[in-house]
Amino acid sequence: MHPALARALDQINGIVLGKDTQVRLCLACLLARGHLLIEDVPGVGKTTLAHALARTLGLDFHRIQFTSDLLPADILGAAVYDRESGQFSFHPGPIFAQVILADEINRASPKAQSALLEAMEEGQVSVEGETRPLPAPFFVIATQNPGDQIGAFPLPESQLDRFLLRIRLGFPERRAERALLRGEDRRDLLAQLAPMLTPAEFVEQQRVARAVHVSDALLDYLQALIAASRADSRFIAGLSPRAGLGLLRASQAWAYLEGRDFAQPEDVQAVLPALVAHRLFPAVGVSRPGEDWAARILLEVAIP
Amino acid sequence: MKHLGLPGVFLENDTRRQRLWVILPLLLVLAPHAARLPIWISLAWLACAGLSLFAAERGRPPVGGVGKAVLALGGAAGVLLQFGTVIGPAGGVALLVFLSGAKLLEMNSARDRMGLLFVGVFLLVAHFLDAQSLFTAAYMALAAVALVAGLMLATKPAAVALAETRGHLALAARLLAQALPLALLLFVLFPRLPGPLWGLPQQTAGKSGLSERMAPGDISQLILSDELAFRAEFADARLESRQLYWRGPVLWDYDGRAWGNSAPVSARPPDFEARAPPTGVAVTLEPHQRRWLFLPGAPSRLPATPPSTLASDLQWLAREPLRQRLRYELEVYLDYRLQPRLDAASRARGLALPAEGDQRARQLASAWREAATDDAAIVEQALGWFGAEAFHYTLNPPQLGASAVDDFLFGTRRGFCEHYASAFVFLMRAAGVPARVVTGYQGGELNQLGNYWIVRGRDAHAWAEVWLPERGWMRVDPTAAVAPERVERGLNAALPAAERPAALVALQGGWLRPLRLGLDLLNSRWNEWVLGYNQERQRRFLAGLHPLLASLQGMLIALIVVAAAALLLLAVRLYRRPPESRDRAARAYERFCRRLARLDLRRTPAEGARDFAVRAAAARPDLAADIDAITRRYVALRYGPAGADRLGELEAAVRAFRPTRHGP
Repeated sequence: MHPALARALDQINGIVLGKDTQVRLCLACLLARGHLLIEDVPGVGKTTLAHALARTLGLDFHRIQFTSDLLPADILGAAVYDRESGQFSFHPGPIFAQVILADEINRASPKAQSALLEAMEEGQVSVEGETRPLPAPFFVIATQNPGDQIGAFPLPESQLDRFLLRIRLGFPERRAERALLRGEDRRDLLAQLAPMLTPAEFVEQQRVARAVHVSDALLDYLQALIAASRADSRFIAGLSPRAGLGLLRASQAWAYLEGRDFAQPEDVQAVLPALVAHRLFPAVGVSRPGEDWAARILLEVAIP
Repeated sequence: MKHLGLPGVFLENDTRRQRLWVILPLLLVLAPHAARLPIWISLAWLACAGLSLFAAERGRPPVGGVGKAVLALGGAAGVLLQFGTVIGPAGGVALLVFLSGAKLLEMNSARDRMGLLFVGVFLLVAHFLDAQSLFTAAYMALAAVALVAGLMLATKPAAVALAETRGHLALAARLLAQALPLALLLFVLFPRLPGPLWGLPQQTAGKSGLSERMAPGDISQLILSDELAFRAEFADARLESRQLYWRGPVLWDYDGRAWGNSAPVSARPPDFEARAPPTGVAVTLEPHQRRWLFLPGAPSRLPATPPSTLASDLQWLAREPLRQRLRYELEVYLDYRLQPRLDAASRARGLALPAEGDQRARQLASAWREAATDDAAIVEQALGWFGAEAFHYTLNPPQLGASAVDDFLFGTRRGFCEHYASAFVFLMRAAGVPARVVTGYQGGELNQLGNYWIVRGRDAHAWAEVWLPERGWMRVDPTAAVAPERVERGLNAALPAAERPAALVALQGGWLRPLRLGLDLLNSRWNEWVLGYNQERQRRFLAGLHPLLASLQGMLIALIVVAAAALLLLAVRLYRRPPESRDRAARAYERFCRRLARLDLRRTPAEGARDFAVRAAAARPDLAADIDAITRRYVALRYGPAGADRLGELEAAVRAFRPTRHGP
């Protein structure tokens, strides 16, 4: 692993306290070129984590606060009439940045949501009949409140599938919370954060992570897990091929963060819960969410 | 498919596919039933299936509560009207089929689908009430695979159901194949009840066959049927077609038109003396709804089953009409002298003729009588006359007038075996030689594959018996004098080319013949060993394996022991030994894990090697270095980019790894 990545991890862990695993998952997600979804109740540090990630990686960063009256133009930008030149000129929206923090994405209407999600998939936006490329790398870190909160438009399955990982932060444990209470204001700390990598370096790291060796034995295991998800009658459908590919990339990135040049079953096991949480939907009468399933299936599927 | 957060809503789209996987296996199961059911039930079922599929897309039940009640009661009433009952093999099955169709309309959950498929299993077995052929069994095996696949899919979510259809079919076939040995074991060892395996009365009736009356034209109708009469296997003798005269009804009395028996034949045991040692024969007789049992000669001793009597004229009759396939094995004399001393009553009956009619035949016979020295000479004379005159063997003889014998002998001269037998016996009686008509089968087709004879409707035949002093009743076949081919090589050879039934010609010759004979052999063995596996046969077969198996207790104990042993073996195989990996590195690592398992350090199947190493090292710090080294090598070999040349190191390290139960 590049030493800069280790420093980046340390720095983020200094801001978001006691969440080492989640922070590592976030970084793995971005290394695997995936978009990240952070879901939890308000106030546990979702936005802080997203901020810290962007700053530490030295990426150009915009935040969009999603509200129920947000329009696609508020995200993508619009053509505005310029009186001096007598022409329409395009004013790019907040989406033209390397990292977008889509805050409380499930508070916006499906129309606004899909404007963002289209950009996530294509890496470009079409406004006023013109296609404009987005900067590279381009990430969306979205946060959302749990679906059962009032005033939420849950993301449809097809769009959830575009987020590589979905993590939950959860309340800090006692010791971390004490440190939080004692420590400085997080906003001040964020402002002091120094970038640990240049964007070019980060793109290079992504390339190296993708080259992490994957053996046939590991693919056997990966496929056994996917097959298990499809054979389980408690879900509407199993993991899609896109999810399977994501699992592979995320495992590679995790292995890379562990300092190895090959992936092993433990890497797959580390990323699987965050990968299936937003992809497996319980069938009628089953109340077990995807994460629980992942925990169980990891105990049941033998490593070939 | 859209998740609306309402239970059931997102499933509605796809239930069509799931319904299809209930309807298709059921359709397979019910197709053969359709031939026996009234057409309105089949149509109603199909309509329900269609409606159910159609409604699957709508997401609401096609028929309401009142509709369902009307449907169920209406169906039951219909069945009651048609069959007079709603229970039993006919009415019960009909009602069940109808209700299974109605149930298709309220199929909403996995529970409904499973219930329907289980009804399908029952209906599948119900086929055996009507048909037990090899073909039926093969078809039912196929339907069973579909049912099992359907049962597996019934519990799956809709999206899976289609994607893995083929996999489920293959899995179902494999499951059933795995169950086969156990089924075979039960079949062989489970004690049979006395009586046939399928104890229900056969419902087939009106099958063609020989009858107790023979009028001209009767047998030529029968002869067009290719239907199997019986199969027969001889123990030793290499017999030829012309030796095989299978005796059926013996007809004594002539009324000027037809032959029959106006009075019962004496039930005294026949009086015969054997002239050659007997030969063993086993006959599997198809049910023909009559009482005759066929034999090519005189039996040395009658078998115990079925209860039967042997009349003095060698007619062998079962006490009950034959409603089920019957197999009998006995010793039979092919060369014998029947009733060397004829009693007065039999003699009178064997000479009786109508008071008048057929004068020309009577004149011809008395001319022979005057010219001849003894009865044997008259027989010779008559056979010679039939051979010399222009008689034709044909299946389509012209109509005969009131004097049937005269018309035939001096008029048409075209006839079939019953014409010849009838005319010949008439002539003999007119000449004062006691004679009678015997009907039955002649010859048959020898299946070289199984070395047994196949006798069909078309082998039906009629011939004559004359009584000669000292020699008793002698068989005389006037047909053989006219058309020797009939007796030597069967019907087809005897008929003129234009008259040969097309179907017979196609089946008889060419490349189809071996195929047909092979199939017949399969059927014959199926009848013998599967359908005919009754109490007696089971006893005999098992006693041949081991004397202890002959008793009921022996069978049950053997059944339990063998089944338990087989299941135990299977269980041990499944639980004890996880399948060995093909990968050498994985094999070495498994060996390593087994050694640690002896120290109660067991790796769970889903535990990563690294995780396990950490756990094991923590439990046994003294082994930590070895564990770490082996795990490192293994992980690098199995998951890393390293080449296989380091495999030897891993294997050596595992070999050297001999941990003791208690560390230093």
